[in-house]
Amino acid sequence: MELTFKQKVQLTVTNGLKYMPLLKNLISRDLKKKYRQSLLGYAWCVLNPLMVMIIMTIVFSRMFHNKIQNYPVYLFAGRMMYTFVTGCAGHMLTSITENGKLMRKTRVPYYIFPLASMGSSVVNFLFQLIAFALVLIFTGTFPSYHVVLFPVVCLEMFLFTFGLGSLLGVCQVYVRDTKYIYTVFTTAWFYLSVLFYPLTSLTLTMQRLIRNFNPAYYFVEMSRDIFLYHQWPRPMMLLRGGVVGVVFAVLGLWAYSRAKKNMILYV
Amino acid sequence: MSDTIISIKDASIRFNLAMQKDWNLKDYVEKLFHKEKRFQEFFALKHIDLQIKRGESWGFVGRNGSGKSTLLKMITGILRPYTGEVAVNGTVAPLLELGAGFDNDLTGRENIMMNGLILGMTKKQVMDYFDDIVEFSELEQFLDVPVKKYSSGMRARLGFAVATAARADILIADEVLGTGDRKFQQKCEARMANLLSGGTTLLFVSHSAPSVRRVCQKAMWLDHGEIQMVGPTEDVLTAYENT
Repeated sequence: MELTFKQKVQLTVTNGLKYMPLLKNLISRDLKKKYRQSLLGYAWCVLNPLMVMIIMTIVFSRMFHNKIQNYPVYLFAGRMMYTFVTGCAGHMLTSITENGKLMRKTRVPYYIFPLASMGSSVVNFLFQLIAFALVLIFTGTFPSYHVVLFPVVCLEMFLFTFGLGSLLGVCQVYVRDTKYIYTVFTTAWFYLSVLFYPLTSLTLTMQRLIRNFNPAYYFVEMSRDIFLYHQWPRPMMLLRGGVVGVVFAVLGLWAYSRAKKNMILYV
Repeated sequence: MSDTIISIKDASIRFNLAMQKDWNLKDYVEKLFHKEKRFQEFFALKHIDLQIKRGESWGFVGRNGSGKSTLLKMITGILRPYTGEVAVNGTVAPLLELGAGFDNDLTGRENIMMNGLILGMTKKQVMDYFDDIVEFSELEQFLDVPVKKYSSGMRARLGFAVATAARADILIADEVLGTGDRKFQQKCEARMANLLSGGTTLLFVSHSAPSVRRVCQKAMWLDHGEIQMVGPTEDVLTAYENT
């Protein structure tokens, strides 16, 4: 009994809607568990990025005498984008294998676990934005009308991260080394995303490579354009972000559909 | 509408043993050179045919590793048949392991919601059944304690209470009465009888022959993935016990 493509899509959608409450519950479980039994609780979502920013600002502007103006905003605007991409993808990476027991013993759609990881990462990102708003207020950097494009940048970033995380999550099911490779990879990625130094301190070739081929940097640069330099993101960057977003999202969905059949034997 | 709720035709389940064991680079390189190592197949179920009608209660017996749980997983939809067909016409409440959907760090109260949602209930349904679940599991005092601090009996009670709260068309119970005490077992059996009279179909695995005799009308005896015997519970169990 082969289903047509349309029927398959309908089935997936009705199934997905049926499991929406479970998805919401998994997301809130993630957040709840993270801060359970801590004194400050959810305040950590805002405090943590603030403190990291303060330390990095002290280290890089006092110790290394950076010439970047408004360094806290430079740092934060970039870092929040980078941490979302790598954090969310890393969270999605382990989401399927960590819920292996649930998959083997109950019948829930497998894609609900990466989606839940993504959801809780997005909520965390929103908390980061609150922290970022505080930084903007303290430094007197009030956002201009260019902010209207920020949701578009975020959407591109979400699509890209969804795709990357899905690919990694599926890979992890078959090859458990993926997690360790990713850890090493993100270390390199951190330094290649131009988070705490100015782009111009690199050679021209390096600058070109990063601006062309590092998707995380697309979002870092556009975020700085909007919040720090009060200008429109470059159209080329916006286009690149959209293209990697769509391409990775499609690749991620393709990986799920490929793995669906025999994934259960490996989790 | 036909009253056949589960129809299995010539279904087999195949596992690749080479794939199941721990994987490492050394094995991988070896496998590249020795083709036979790449595939070590094992049939957990072989050519199973089974028709189950709405409202029946079936017991599955057989030694460890005979394929009982694999069969139930296939009916639940967790495993796909390698060959053959499986058609299920109704909602399934699987209890393949008591408390399988529990999150140890969450409280009993939170886990009731989570487990209910995993079973495919809506939030409202879980709320409606909440009091009933608490009453049946006798855990009123411990609702706000993380489940990791529950005893295995408490977990069993809660798991059973949630899975049986809503009237699913098919209830699958795999060796679930083992951890409870006698009183709880009786309570569970009473509830299963109650569900049966309400039209639920029951698939029941247990190593306790008396339980199977009390609960099930029909039984299947599996051995090494093959059907040894199918028939009325008494006949099958007598034959099984005489081996």
